Order: sequence, then structure tokens, then C-alpha cells
Amino acid sequence: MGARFVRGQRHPRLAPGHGMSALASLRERLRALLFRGREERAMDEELAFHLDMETQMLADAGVPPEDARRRAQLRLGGVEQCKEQVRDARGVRVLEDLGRDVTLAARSLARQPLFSLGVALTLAFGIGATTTIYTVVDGVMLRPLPYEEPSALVTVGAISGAGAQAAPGVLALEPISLLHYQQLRERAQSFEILAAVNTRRLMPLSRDGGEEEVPASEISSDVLRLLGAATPALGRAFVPEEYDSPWEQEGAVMVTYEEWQSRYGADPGIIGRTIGRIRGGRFPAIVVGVLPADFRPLEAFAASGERPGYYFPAAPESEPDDRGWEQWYVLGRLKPGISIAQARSEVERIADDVVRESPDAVGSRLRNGSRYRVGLNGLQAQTVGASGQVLALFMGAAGLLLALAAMNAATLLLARSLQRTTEFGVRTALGAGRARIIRLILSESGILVIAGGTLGVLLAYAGVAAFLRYAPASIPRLNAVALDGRALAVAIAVSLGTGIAVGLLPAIRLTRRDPWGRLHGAGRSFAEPSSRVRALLVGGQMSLALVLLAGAGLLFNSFVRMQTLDPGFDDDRLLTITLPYKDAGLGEGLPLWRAWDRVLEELRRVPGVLSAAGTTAAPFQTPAETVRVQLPDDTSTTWRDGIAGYAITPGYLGTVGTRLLAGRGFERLDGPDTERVALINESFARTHLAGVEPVGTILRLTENDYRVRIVGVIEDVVQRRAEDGFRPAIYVPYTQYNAAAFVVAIIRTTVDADAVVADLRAASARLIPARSPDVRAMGDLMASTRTSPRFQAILIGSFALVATLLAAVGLYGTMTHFVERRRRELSIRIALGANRDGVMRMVFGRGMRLTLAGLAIGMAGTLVLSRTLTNLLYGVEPNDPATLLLVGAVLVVASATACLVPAFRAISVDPVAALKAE
Amino acid sequence: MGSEHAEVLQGTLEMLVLRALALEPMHGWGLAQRIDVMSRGVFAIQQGTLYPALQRMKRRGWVKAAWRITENNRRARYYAITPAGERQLAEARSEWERASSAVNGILGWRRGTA
Repeated sequence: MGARFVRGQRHPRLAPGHGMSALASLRERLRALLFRGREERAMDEELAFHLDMETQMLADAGVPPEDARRRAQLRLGGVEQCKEQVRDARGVRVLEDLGRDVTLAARSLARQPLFSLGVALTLAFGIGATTTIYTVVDGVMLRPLPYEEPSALVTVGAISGAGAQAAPGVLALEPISLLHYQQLRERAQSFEILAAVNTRRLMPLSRDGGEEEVPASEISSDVLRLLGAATPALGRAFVPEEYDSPWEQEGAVMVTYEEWQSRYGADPGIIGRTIGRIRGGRFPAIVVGVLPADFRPLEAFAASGERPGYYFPAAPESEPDDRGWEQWYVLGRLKPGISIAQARSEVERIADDVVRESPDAVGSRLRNGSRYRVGLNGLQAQTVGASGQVLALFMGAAGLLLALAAMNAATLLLARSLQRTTEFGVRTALGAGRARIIRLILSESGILVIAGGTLGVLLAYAGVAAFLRYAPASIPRLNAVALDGRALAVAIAVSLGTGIAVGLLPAIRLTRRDPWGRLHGAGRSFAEPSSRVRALLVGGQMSLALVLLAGAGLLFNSFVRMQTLDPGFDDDRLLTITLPYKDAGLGEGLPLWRAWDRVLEELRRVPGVLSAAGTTAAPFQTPAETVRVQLPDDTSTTWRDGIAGYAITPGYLGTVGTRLLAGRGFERLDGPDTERVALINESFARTHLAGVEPVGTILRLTENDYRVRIVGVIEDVVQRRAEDGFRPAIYVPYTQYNAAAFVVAIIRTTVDADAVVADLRAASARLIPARSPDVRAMGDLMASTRTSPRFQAILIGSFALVATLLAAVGLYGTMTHFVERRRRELSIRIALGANRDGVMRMVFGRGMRLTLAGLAIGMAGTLVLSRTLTNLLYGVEPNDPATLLLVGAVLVVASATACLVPAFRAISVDPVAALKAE
Repeated sequence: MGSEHAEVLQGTLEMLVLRALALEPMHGWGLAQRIDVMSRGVFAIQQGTLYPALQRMKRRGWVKAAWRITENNRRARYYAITPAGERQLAEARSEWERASSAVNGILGWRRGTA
């Protein structure tokens, strides 16, 4: 009766007021766990004392001593039972059992260190690769941009003629004119704020008495507020007057946080300092503030990876000539509740009105005849842009590698557990329950997964560092990439998932069969059902390895094709030096071409220099100018857009090795005051002058009524990148051009180019003491345009290499086990006179059947998946038969090698010994 | 049957142990004897009940244990009540009084008449 009440009495104890005792309880449990041995000894002594006292009492009461102990024992009841209850009362039963399982598992793994290390390493590769790529993906794509409410931020721009997409759902946008931007600001209702950033430009920056040009840009008054960056890290933001300040005076500049850290050592004294010149290099720039960290409004637009370190207040209204110039990137913050689609249709509507009402505002595109359209993207989507596809590819590859590693580990664990059927049979027969055996197996896989996961995270640290070091600059936001808690959580989740997947399979398979059969047959006659699972696992690994290898093969093939593209000239013994012509004693009052002559003369004197010529941009550099031209027959509104413009010295053709196809090259006589002339390339002639004799044709260049007569046609030469193909270009004599800040000297040497570099540097230093010149071999310049494809090929290639090795190891393990299990069968065959060729064929046949089945499935998968590579490949189809056959052959060879040792082991079976062992 | 009896004991046991320890620290055997005496022989506590209970109470922080030398010069583990144990005892006692007076009321006995 009273029992109920008395038991009900427990509840108040559990009330939250008893936090103290909860803590004490935890401490007590911990102590019980840590000092289990001591607790056990204490308990033994205590119970022995109890028995002694009881005996003593009985003896004192007159019971004969020989009887007293027995009677005391009877009275007290079962000692062992009591001990068990005390142990239970310690409340650490589950933990103790776990500890015992783990100890047992660890001991068992330590007996096969190579196996354990192999499995842990396998898992480490999978987990490490996944964690590395996830870390990058998280930093670049998943994390919100470091601005206030980044999801409401959008970009507005003109859609290029072709309407290309930068990435699925992301329009490729180009800058718009100031006039159009002003119209947008006046009319658009969807935005809380609209602001504009100028395209990147160069600013001459004072440095060590000399000067260098650094990337800089201009921002309109609302950019800081729009991005939620209105509070500078140091100093102040621009004030309204600075945005309206007259053009012809000194101006304010803000330095990015990163630039302030790296170039100025975070010196707070930078505020108020004059650091360089702005406005065409005419007026001093004075630092007013340091921008907050991660201020990169241009990152969404400029894929080049160069980030401006300096921002000026845009004072565009004072540059009336520039109003129609399409050089403004527009950023917007949507009003709450306005969707991207709504805003998109509004800006499209406004653009149509602007085209109708003030065609000046839309620049060249209208006059070009094609319809002028604008588009709008989410800022984050546009920032990630095309890198999203590449990263998704990396993520997919890492996922495949993880799946392969998990299958590989499962194969190895399964093989091991099957070898232990006898051990588990004994354990089961001795009373270990199915749950206990499963727990033991799971403990083993748990230990391996924890080891693999830990190694994997270490690998990921190295992997992320390597990724950041070698990644092409075109991937945005790499500064936000860090292996932190989020990535670790993913690593742990991945490890757990892998652990369960890998550990459960052998556990289930093992405990299914009866212990008696296992003891009896010692596991030898039960091969079939589990070998089917293993065949699936091995075949699956081959499939995954093939997919990865095929992807790597295609990317490498494409990269090699890019490498072997004809650049249109011989890059051997060719160097470029980029020098500012206006520096120290060269620029003052000298026209551009005189300065160039001085530079080139000095360089030509260097021993080993065969010839030196000047240009505004070398091959494999971005052309300094993109011009529009009009042909004589064109109507006044028709412009031919996007033609690369170069100014060159007469020696250029000879130095680069470009042949003249028609007419003449430039000569000394083409001076500043003679007739304005130009050369065009083959592509220009083909694209724009089909059926016309080019030489003698007069072209109109840009808006100013600048006319040139074509005097010659030259061979095509690569512009920015070889894989873009040859494009139209126009060349003017350097004497008739006066807008470059730099001369790019191109130098052909008579000896190995490296041998001349030091002398060239010395010569440059004589010319311009304060600057260390940018000397680069043409070969390096070429390579630098291919960092992205090379990086992709190397990354996927290294995944594929690991995948191939793992798949081969998996096959090797399976075949070794196959031979082990068939020892008896093999020995009978050999005893009965089977020839060794036959036995070998049997082993190879089995291994190859697995491989080929896997390859067939992998090939089907590859054909589906490789299509995702289309955009990344140059000159190779995603289903390129040669590549696929080659990687298939690589896997066949790897598999054959993996079968070799087991096959030799099979034929070296000693029939007598093997049968005796039965 | 026996288990029902044990349950009654187990529920009350902790309260009885705390009450006994509130007098002075003592070892397990002494505690069993003391409760036997205090309950006038009604509650004979088995070691299989006592020691697990002590272990539980130690875990909850109601008692603490220390090895000492008995008057017969033997080493024994002594248990002492802690402040948390004293609070628990007070709580358990008032709960018990409430419960038993209610039971007594139901059974028709007046307080003090028994």
C-alpha cells in the first residue's frame, strides 16, 4: 500500500532545483568509470567486512565458530548477485560495456596493423576529399555574401548581343552607360537603393620614389550604404561634396581593408596621406578612410581575379564626354517583397523606354542593329557565376571518391570478417549474443572510421591550403574559405554515415548464419552469398573509378589540346617586359613614341637580344583597347564592335614572327604627322571585309572622326587565350597613338631567354630606377592563361589516381580472399593434374569478369555524366572514344596487375599441405 | 510476494538510511544493525539491498564514503550524510508524513489514537 506513496516520493528529487546533485552524480559516475578497478576492490573489501562482522556477531551469540561463517553467508545471500546490483547502481554499465567492446576491438585491429591502416587511409582519402571540396564550396557558394541582407542584392547590366548565360539562370551582364543608369534611378520602383561601380581602371601609385599602376575603381555615393558598409574600418567614408567635387583638383580615396593590411602594414597613419595620383594622373589622391573588410563590389563582375585596392568617389557628372560610355556596373537592393523576376521585368521595361526616348544612353548596342536588352541577376548568383559549375564538378568527383572509398573499406572489412567466421562462431557458441557480436564489429568499424575521419580532416586541412594556393584567381571569394566548424560538422556527419554504411554490412552478413555451421565448416563452404555482395562492391568500385578516370582523361586531353594550339607565332626565346614609359626622366614632355624608342634602344643593347619591339599588349595579354570600326559602306549608325586594338612599333612583326600577307608593314616613315594608317589581321579581313580588297580601304575608328587607311594584312595572332580562337584585330603605328601608360617590350633573344633576363632587368633599372620590371617568358604568359583548365585536370586527375589505386586494392583483396577460400578446390584440381595455366586462367577470369562488368556499368555512367563537362572541354567531345578507351585500358591493366599476386599464389598451392590443413 | 515486501523496503530504505546516518557516520554493517534496532526488528535489511542503495545515494551526492578504522582496529568504509542528503531527508520526511497521514485518514484512524 504505502509502496506507491513512498515511490512517488522520488519525484521531488528529480526536480530542477537539484542541479547540484546532478553535477555530483555526474562526477560520481565519472569516478566510477575511471577508477573501476578501485571501486571493485573497495566493494570486495566492504562485503568481506560485512560478512566478517556478521560472523563475529553470530560467534558472539554462541554459535560455534565453524558454523558461524556458513550461517552468516546464508543469512546474507548471494554475494555475486549483490555485487552485480552495486555495479548497476554505479550507473555506468552501458559505458563500461562500450569500453570493453572498444578495448577488444582495438586489440583485434592492432593484430592486423596493415589492414587497419589501409582501411583508415582509404576512409581518410574519401572523407578528406569531401571535406576539402565542401569547405571550398561552402566558402565560395553557400555562405551568404558578407554584406547586409545579401539576398536582396542584385546587379543590373546590359545583355551581350548573344544573350549568353554565365551560368544556368545567371545572365552574362555587361556595364551600362551613366545615362542609362540615371534613367534607371529615376524610374525604377523595385529598388530601395541603386548604385554604380565603375569598371576597373589603373591608378598611378607613388611607391619608393617611383610609381606603379594599381587596380582601382570608382563608386557612386550609395554603394557603401547599399552593401551595409557605411562604417569604414578607419577614417571616414566619402562625404557628399566629394562625390560632387570638381574634376580639376585633388581628390579623396578609400583603401580596401586588405590593401591596407598588406601594403601599408595596417598603419593607422595612412589617413590624410597622399598616396598617388588620380584623374588621369594629374591630381594627388588623399586617403580619407579604410573600407571594411571584404568590400569587393566588383567581384561579381570581374572574373580576372584582380581586385581593386582603391576606390574613388565617382564624379561622373563632371565628365560629360563619358556619359554615353558603357562602363558602369549597377548594384541594387530590392525593396522587401520584390522578387528577382519582378525587378527583372521592370528594368527590361525601362530599358525599352530609354531606347525609345534617349538612344544616346544605350551606346553602341542599338546602333549595332541588335536589340538592346538589360538583365538582372542576384548578386550572389552572379558572383559565383561560372565557378559554380566547376565547384559542382569538384564536389561530384569528391562524392564519387567518397562512395568508392566507402565501398573499398566495406570490401576490406567484409573480407576480414569472413576470415573470422570461426572466431565469431566460438564467441557465439560461448554465449555472446548477436547484438554483442554486432556491437563488437561496429566498434571495430567505429574505431577505423574515427581514425579515418581524423586523418581525413588532417588531409582536408592540407587539401584546403593546397587548393587556395593553386586555385585559379577566377574562382571568387576564396578569401572566405576556411575549414571551420561547419566543415568539421560535415566531416563528422560524412564519417558517421560512412561508418554506419561500412560497418553494418559485415555485421549483418556475419550474424546471419548459425554458429554451429560456422564452427563446423570453418567458413569454407559458405562462400557464395557473400561473394555476390563483394562482387557488387568490387564492380561498383571499378565503375566509379572509371567515371573519375574518364573525367580526368577528358580534362587532360582538352588541356593538352590547348597547349598544342598554334598561337600564330613562335614562342621560343621570346620575352616580354612591361614598363611604364612616363617614368623618371622618360616621360616629361616626351611624346609616347619617343619614350618607347628610348626604352627599346636601351633593351636592344643588352647582349643576347636579337630584336626588341613595342606594343600596347603582348599576345596572351588582354588587349589594351577594344575598338569599334565603321566601313566606308556602313550606314552612320552601324558599328562593328569588339575589335582588339594594338599600337605597335615597326619591328613588331619581325620580332613576334608574324608574316605580312598583303600590302606593307609599318615603317619609320609612318610618323605622327603622316597619313594615319593601320594593319588588320586575317580574321578582320575575313569577317568584315569579305569580297573587298582590304589594302587601301579607309576605316572609321570610334566616335571621334578618326580615319585610318589599311596598308597591310597580317597573320592572325592569339589575343587573350588560344582557345578563344583567332579574332579580328587592328594595329596602328605607335607614333600615331598617344594613350598608353605602359610599353610592353617584346624581345627575341639569340640564346636561351633565361640567360638574358638578369641583363634585361639591369637595363630596365637603368631606365627606371624605382621599379622592378615585370619580365616574363612568353611561355609563362601562355601557361598563365591556362591555369583554370590545368587546375581542373590536376584536381580531378588526383582524385582519379586515388580512385584507381583504391579500386585495384579492392580487387586485389577480393581476389586474394577468393584464392584463400578455394585452397582446397584448387589443391584438388592441381592434385588431379589440372595445369597451372588453367588455374591461373580461372583466377584471372574471375577478376577480369568483375572488372569488365564494373567497367561496362561505369562506361554507361560516364556517357551520362561526362556531358556536364561540355563547357569545360576544348576540342574534345565529352564522349571522346579515344579517351574513354584509353582510361578503360588503364583500369584493365590495373586490374590485371591486382590479380597477378593472387593468381601466382593460386598456382603455388601445395596440394598436400592444403588438404592436410583441412 | 517477497518482491512486494522488498519494494516497500526499497522505497523507504533511502529515507531510513539517511535518518540513521543523520545520527553519526557508520559503516554498512553498522547501518543495517542500527536500522534493525531503530525499527524494532521490523526492517531486516539485506546486504543485496543495502549496498546498491548506498551506491545510488553516493552517486546522487546524499552520502559520502571514506575508509576508516573501526574500534576493533579493522578497515571499513564509513558513510556520512551530506548537506544535500540532509535536505533530501527533510523533504522525504515531510512527504512521508503527508502521505501517511492521508493514508491513516482513509483508513479511519485519527492521528494520535493509534
